[in-house]
Amino acid sequence: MKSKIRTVTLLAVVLLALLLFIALGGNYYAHLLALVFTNVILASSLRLSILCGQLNIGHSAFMSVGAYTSALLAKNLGVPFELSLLGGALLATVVGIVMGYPSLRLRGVYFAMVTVAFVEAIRLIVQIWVSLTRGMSGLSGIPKPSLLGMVLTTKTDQCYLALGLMVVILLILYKLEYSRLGLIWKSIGMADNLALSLGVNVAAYKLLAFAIGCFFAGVAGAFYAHFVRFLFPPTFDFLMATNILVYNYVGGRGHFWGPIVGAAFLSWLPEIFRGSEATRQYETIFFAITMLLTILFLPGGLITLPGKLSDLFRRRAESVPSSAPTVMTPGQRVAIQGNPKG
Amino acid sequence: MTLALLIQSMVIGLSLGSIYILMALGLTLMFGMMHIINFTHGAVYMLGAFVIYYFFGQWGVPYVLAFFLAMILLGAFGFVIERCIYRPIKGGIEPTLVALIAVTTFVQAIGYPVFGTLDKHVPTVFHGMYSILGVGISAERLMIIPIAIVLVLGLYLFINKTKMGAAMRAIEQDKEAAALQGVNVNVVNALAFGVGFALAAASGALMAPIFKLDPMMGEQPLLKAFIIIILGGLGSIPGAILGGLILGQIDSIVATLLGLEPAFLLSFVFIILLLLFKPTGLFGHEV
Amino acid sequence: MQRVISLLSLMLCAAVAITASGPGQVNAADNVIKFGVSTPLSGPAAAWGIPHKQATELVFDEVNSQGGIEIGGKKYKLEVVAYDHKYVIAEGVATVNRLISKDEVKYLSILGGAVAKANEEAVNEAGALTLPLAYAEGLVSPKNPLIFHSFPAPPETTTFWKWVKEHHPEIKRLATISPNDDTGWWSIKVETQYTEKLGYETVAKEFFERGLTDFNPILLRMLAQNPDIISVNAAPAGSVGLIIKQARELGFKGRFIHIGQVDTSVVSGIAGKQNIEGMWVHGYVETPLPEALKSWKERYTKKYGEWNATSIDFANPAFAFVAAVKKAQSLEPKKIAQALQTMEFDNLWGKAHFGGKDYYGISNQIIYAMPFSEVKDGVATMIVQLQPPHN
Repeated sequence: MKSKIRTVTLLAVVLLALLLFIALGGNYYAHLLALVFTNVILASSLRLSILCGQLNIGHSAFMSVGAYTSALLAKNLGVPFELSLLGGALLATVVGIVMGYPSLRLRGVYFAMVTVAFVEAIRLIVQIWVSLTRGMSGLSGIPKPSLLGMVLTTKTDQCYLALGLMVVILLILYKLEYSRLGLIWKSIGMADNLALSLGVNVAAYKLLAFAIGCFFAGVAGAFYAHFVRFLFPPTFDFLMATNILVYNYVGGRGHFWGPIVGAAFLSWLPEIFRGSEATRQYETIFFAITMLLTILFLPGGLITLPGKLSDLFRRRAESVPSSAPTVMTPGQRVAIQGNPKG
Repeated sequence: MTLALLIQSMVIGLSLGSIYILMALGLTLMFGMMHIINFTHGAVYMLGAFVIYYFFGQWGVPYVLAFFLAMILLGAFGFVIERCIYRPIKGGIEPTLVALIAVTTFVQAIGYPVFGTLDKHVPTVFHGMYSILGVGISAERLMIIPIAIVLVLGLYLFINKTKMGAAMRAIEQDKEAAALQGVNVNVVNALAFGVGFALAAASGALMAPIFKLDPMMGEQPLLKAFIIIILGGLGSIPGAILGGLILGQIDSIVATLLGLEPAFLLSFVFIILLLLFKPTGLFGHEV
Repeated sequence: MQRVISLLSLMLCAAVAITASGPGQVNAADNVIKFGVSTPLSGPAAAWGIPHKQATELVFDEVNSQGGIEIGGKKYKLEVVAYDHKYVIAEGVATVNRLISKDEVKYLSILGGAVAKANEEAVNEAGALTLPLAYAEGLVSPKNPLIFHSFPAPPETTTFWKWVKEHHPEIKRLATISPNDDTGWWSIKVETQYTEKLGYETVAKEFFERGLTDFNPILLRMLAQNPDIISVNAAPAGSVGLIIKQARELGFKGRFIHIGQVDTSVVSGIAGKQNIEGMWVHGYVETPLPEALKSWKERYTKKYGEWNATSIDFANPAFAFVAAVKKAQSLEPKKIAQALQTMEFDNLWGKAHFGGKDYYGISNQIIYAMPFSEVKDGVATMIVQLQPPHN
């Protein structure tokens, strides 16, 4: 119980810090943070697929559907932001279900391949349908987001909106992951045949995870459309989809906070490289190296960093060589590392 | 569309198809033997082409020698990647994917400062023009066909008639059983990487004089190869051949009829349908 | 869980600390004029972005070495703050956001039609003076009073077709091929309008995705219409080279024309020297090289090691900016904009000014005597310099 109160307090502090940061940071930080929050939403919503053990490289397709739908509803039909956002998210979910339903039987690499094909197919459809989306000319003139009729004109206000959306979505995702539903998803992810043999309707649960993921991807897309206010079809491509996947793996696949840490870290990194004179020419190169080093040295993701660091310090503290055998059985290792949840 | 145009389109489609088959070979091997989508395939293709640019184009090394050099150098690179990246990650599909993406990003990004920003070219190796059924095809494009056949045969013999190939097939079927039989899994994996990379480099080296060189030139081939192995089926060489030929015809006839974007859309829709109804492709087997 | 949160918070603080200490703060000296450049420094468009940045830096270096710009008795040095947008829209928006909001630049140059459009509203809202190198329909317009397009666009360069009509009346059937994006579409739209008025028949219009290497399928379709000339407008040098090579292989014997801008030495390498004979291009001259250009080429190669002919026109924003600041004797974007609209300045081709009011509704398009060349024996030889049809 005490631990829970501590956690909530810590979270509240972080939230407060973020709010302060946005309030004082000006346009520059507001812009960056809004995009970071969008990426966190994308990465966390993809996590549902990952829990079920699905290699999903198609998330950007649904972001695209959400973005264009919301943009067109607002621009061409004057639909207010709250509704166009919802519309975008719903259409993204519908498209996700239509595409997901037949694909769920596929496993592993095959499922991954079909998601990549989705991304490209949707991108091409958006490009070809010029009369609707303006294709490669780009869709501009998208209205700014508004709440209850009040337009959010400044980047700072829009950033608050992004923060709000992110917090609400993360709460929902957290509840889902730590509910019975989450347990079922995780069991499917670990051994779906076993789950199936126990009577779990694996396909239905996978579809649910996929659909919820698509819904939030649509939300992220809609926000993005009204924030950047210019949509260009190649933006939502295979590269973006792999980036969202990378956020999850670099952050850490095994924990709810994984995608959040991964998205925050990898979204901010390019900006840091951009800032330093030394690395500016070679931004992309440094980014790739960072990704590689993280994968090689922190296979569990950045999430495992605090654990590893504390192990390091603990080992230093135990300067007296222990009498423990050098070859440890799995049981012994778990016991020494203590509570893995930290 | 007139009949003459259709026939010409099919000839072009054959030319495209042979190029695609070549591009798909390396990917087929790695996909079939190790179940890895080798994301660095495009980057290695590009590096193979640039080896030709420097050794043959700039330093006067005879083309054939430079070609083998490209295969050897990039095969060695394959060993390095297997040892330093694939093995430490202990073969989890997703981390390997991410790592390979990182390697590709790195190689492509570093290409610009190292190779320069202007597109490069390599002098033509096989000169001459031929007219086939009313279409002008250059000798260098026609040469792709026999070379592709040689490489395909070589790969087929390697996988099916050599001990190493047998070891690879054994590991693909059941890794533990193979290890129990005395197969050194690490060595065979390294070999798979090496051969896969060498094939990717070979196709890049062959394309270098036909097209142009730039650090991102591997992107398209990767995508095409990807489509082909899905069409043809996991690890199937006949599948890669048929897949390449089919895609070549789609890209040619549909493109001439309707334009490029619809042609690309069609190939993706085709793959989606194929994956949904026969995921193992035309010739693949269940994993 | 708590460890994770502390990790996150730590990362956040570190990120903020590092980002906040970027060079933006270092040069807060008030006798420095910061000029922003958002351009592709990596990726396929780097062939444009790098000379864009380097040309700007070279011009500024030379101004600085002579003491800088004097405004109201005070001397100012010019500084380029350049960021790579990799031709990705989100990065394009992020780089301009950084330039305007963090580095507090009030003048910038953006390369790339889609990127410029994506930032249209941002630069207008910030009141920043922008000198883009970007083909985008509607970019130059009365709603963008502070956007001055610094490169001849299709409405200016199509005037060359009049010259073609006069000197080569045998050419009647025209086919066009361009990249499948706004740059390509606008170029083709303007060119087709102009040429059809002159009496040309457009027999084919093809669009290709950037990155395509095998054009045979669409060339087959195009050549079935028997064009006399193929216009490869807005296509980058590498694609132009492949298009020409493959068209020749398919049997096309006519001429090629590119009134965007292209480096024919690159095209020649890829397509083969004999295949580009007689090609007409805008904005690229290998001989005779005017003195100003010979000197520029020397200075550029000396500073950067590799010559890039694209730098010649991509230096326009820098030349225009320097001259306008001098004339306006002010650092305010609006005053500099006024100067830009009313003055003449020198670029590497001669005298230039911003005009085009009759066509665009506002005098914000760069106008100068554009060089057109014909490739003779593999060398781009200047044949005429033409003023745009509107002043």
